[in-house]
Amino acid sequence: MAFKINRILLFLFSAFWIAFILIDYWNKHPNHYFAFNNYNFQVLSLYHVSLAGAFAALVWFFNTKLKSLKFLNGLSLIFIGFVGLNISFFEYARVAEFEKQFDFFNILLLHQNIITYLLMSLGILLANLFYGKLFLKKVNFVPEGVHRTLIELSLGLMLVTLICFILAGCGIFNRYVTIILLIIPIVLQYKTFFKTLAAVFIKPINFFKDFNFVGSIAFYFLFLIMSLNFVHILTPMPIGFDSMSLYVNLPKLIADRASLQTGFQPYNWSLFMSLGYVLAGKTQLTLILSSFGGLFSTYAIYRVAVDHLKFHSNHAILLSLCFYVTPIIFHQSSKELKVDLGLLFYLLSILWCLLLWLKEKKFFKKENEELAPVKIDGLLIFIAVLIGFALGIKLTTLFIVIAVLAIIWYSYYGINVFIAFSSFSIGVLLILKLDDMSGMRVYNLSVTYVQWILFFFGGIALCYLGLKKKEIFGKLIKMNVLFLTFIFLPFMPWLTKNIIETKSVSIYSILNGKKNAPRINIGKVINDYEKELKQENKNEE
Amino acid sequence: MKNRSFHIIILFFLSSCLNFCVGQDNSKDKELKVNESLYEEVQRYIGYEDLIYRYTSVPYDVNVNMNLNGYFVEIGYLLLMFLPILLLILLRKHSLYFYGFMASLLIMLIISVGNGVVLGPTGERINNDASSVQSFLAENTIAGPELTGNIYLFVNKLYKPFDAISQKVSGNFDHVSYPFMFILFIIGVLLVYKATEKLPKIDRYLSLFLMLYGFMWALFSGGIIWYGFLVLPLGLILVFRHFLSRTEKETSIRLFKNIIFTGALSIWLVLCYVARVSNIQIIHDGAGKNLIDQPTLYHLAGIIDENQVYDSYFNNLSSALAKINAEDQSLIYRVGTMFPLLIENNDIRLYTDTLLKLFKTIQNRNNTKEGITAILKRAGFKYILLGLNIPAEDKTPEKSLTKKFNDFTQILYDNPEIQLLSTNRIINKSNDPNNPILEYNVFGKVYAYGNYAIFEIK
Repeated sequence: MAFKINRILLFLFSAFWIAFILIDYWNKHPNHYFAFNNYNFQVLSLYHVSLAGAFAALVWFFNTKLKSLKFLNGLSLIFIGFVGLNISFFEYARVAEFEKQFDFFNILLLHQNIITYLLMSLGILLANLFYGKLFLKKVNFVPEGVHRTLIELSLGLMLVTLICFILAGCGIFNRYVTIILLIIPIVLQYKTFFKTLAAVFIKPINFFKDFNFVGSIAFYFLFLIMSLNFVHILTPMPIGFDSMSLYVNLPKLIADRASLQTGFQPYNWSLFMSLGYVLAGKTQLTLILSSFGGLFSTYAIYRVAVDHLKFHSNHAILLSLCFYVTPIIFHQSSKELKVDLGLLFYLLSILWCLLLWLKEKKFFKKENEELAPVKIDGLLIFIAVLIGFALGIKLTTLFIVIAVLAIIWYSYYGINVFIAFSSFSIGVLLILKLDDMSGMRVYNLSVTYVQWILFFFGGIALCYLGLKKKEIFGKLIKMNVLFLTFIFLPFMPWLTKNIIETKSVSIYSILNGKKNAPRINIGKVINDYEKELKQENKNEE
Repeated sequence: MKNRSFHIIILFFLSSCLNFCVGQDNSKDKELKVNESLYEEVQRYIGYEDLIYRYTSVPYDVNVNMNLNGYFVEIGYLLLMFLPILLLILLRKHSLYFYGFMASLLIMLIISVGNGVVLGPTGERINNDASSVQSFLAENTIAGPELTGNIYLFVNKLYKPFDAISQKVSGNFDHVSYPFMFILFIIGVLLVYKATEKLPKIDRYLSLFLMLYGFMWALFSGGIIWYGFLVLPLGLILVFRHFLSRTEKETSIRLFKNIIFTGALSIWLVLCYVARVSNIQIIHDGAGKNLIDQPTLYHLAGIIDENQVYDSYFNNLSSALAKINAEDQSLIYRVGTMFPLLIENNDIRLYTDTLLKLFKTIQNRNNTKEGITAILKRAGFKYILLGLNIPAEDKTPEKSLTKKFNDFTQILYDNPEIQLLSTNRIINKSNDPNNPILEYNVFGKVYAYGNYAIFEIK
């Protein structure tokens, strides 16, 4: 009876909750109301719905009738992308009444530019990927039978950024040296390179083999929005405030000086973005590299869903679409190009690797009587290195350091130790004054007590509970120390840079380096001015 | 030690701490120094209500965008809508947890809405106090905002006891928020642990991961979404996994989950598609006809050059930039605007003072127009970049940034030492509404607001 009442209440509450949120959400988002009210692309939407339907029918036909995806390869996808884009351009020109501005040669140039940027970005992408492949060939830490592209991509990107750091640190971050270094892994693996090209452009994409109508339509719209965003950022002037002020400005300064910039918190992703200016001198290419963060994150979500959570590919692609069209994501992929989506890609890669590690250690098995041996292995080292690299993109990565470690403790000990470790770590973060980052610390008058209570309470509980399994506890502490050391390694170049700049070892200096702005001693300027004014007054008297 | 005893000990211990904190006097510390820049720039994301409610309303505020509006902070409603329902579904056979969680959801709703704002038909913000909402309702009869206004008015009555509590134990500063948040975290972890006991282990791992990561984000990030971006995909993954699955044994629950989720997801995808395709920044005659920014397309097609792209976004900008970039030593004082990228050597020339800290330092020593201009000039500044929309960004209750901005613009007004180089603000010099005389200028009767101005110090 109680369950029945609960169920009825659940339905009623859910209906109330959904209705309330929808009403309030609509009120807080007049932009959606305006978007509907001023919607001018009904015809265009009809075209796209028809095209999506045709695409879905094609996939269905290939899958069920021909039993082969022979014609669904990279080239045909690019073709479909261009068809979608061209329909969009022409309908847009008609609606906004600027079709007469474009003659044949303008349209040709438009396509030529899009293709050029597409090829340039593909070139950089492949160079990254091949660095990843090369490294993975030498040091293989990935279990057999596991999908590798995500690891190759995150690893390759990390290596390319390291190369950029070294070149910029030596003041030789110029086009020619960089091109040579980017080509090296491709030359060394030229056979694989041609195979990859064939796989990208010519071979059927097996990805589609399980797609139904929903999956195909979701894919079409995901591809369309990505294509529109791609064209949208081919501009010499990004219109986002943060892009213009910082995130695109910094890569430009790096390229202008062919060296690292003094100051700023560690900026791995900006260094990667600076390839756009270094290789082509183009803001557009820099923006594309920044937008890779959104594309790669979408891909990483798909992989997490399919590889670890056994999503059906239709659901996974729908999930990816739902993520990518979220306004904050398309905003950061088409207007406000920053580093946050790049960071998100790394966070998702870390999550993917963590889930793989847990699976390999059999922590997801139902009856897990025998715990996996506690030792740091290649995959865990890779996770640590990824975290270290991500810390070099933004310091908010600290959250994931703690979350990953807490999960590792949980997997060996259970929920009590999870709570104890969380308390201890949050105590540490408070002692490090992380809450000063948002300026909220000053409002919390009990922070000094809270931080030490959490620190000691968590620490004591961790030791007490941990020592119940003495044989694991010591090893786990050792593993944690090693893990933190490997996190520290990729972050160390930034610390070294900042120490050299500031000649100081205070935490602020280590993290921020020497401030990059004109140095103005305003107190002295005012004093001088006042003195001069007094002198003038005296003279007048 | 059994799990339950351990949890009781923790909660008892933390409750004692909380009890101790409630007894502390918050008023004596109110002269504590607050970082003004962070107060104006960063804390607008988390809001300015009583401290304890700033934290407890974060999940609602961030999802519904109570404090700031715009695509740049919009993560959608799916997480707020479905993660709580998912937990309720999983807890439905444990009445104590089920009712406890449902009650806490309602309390969060009341607190968030009680401290919230109603948006009027043109996006104006009306604080949720009875008199403001009532007068808003008296003047407006548009269905959407009117419905929200009435709901808010009702919730406002429910909020009163919570307001009384916060006035007693919290305020702008307090001792209780941190211990209280930590207790909430532990209760949340235990709740999630209970809810996931019959799910595959990977769900429990992901949920605990999300709880801890999300808690740290809520505690340390001041409501800035991209500091904890991972919450978005991770939450979506969990929601999709459970609402699209067919593993639920009870048919009614399974159907219910599938139907509500498919409905809400479809609405969401349509909203997002229309938002992206309409690509509306500001409302004007051509709004909604901007699939891709036209200057970008024209530039790609070779119809306009880079300078024309700049001018398309910011009228008259390129000529002023040309003048600034012709020099490479003189300093530039930047108050707002997004132009650093377009200024050569901006790392050594540009001094950014968007929150007018430097200006305030000067003003405290010398508050005359001539004096401030002379000091800026002596400091090496030759150009001033001024963002005209700074007041619109100021969400502080006392409008401290707006006041500084107005003081600063007064220095620029009618100052013989300052010359306007360019702006996209248009003023009307005529008093006859049928016969406007328009001019690009910063001061006067504003015809088109614009968003930047560049001045030269002579």
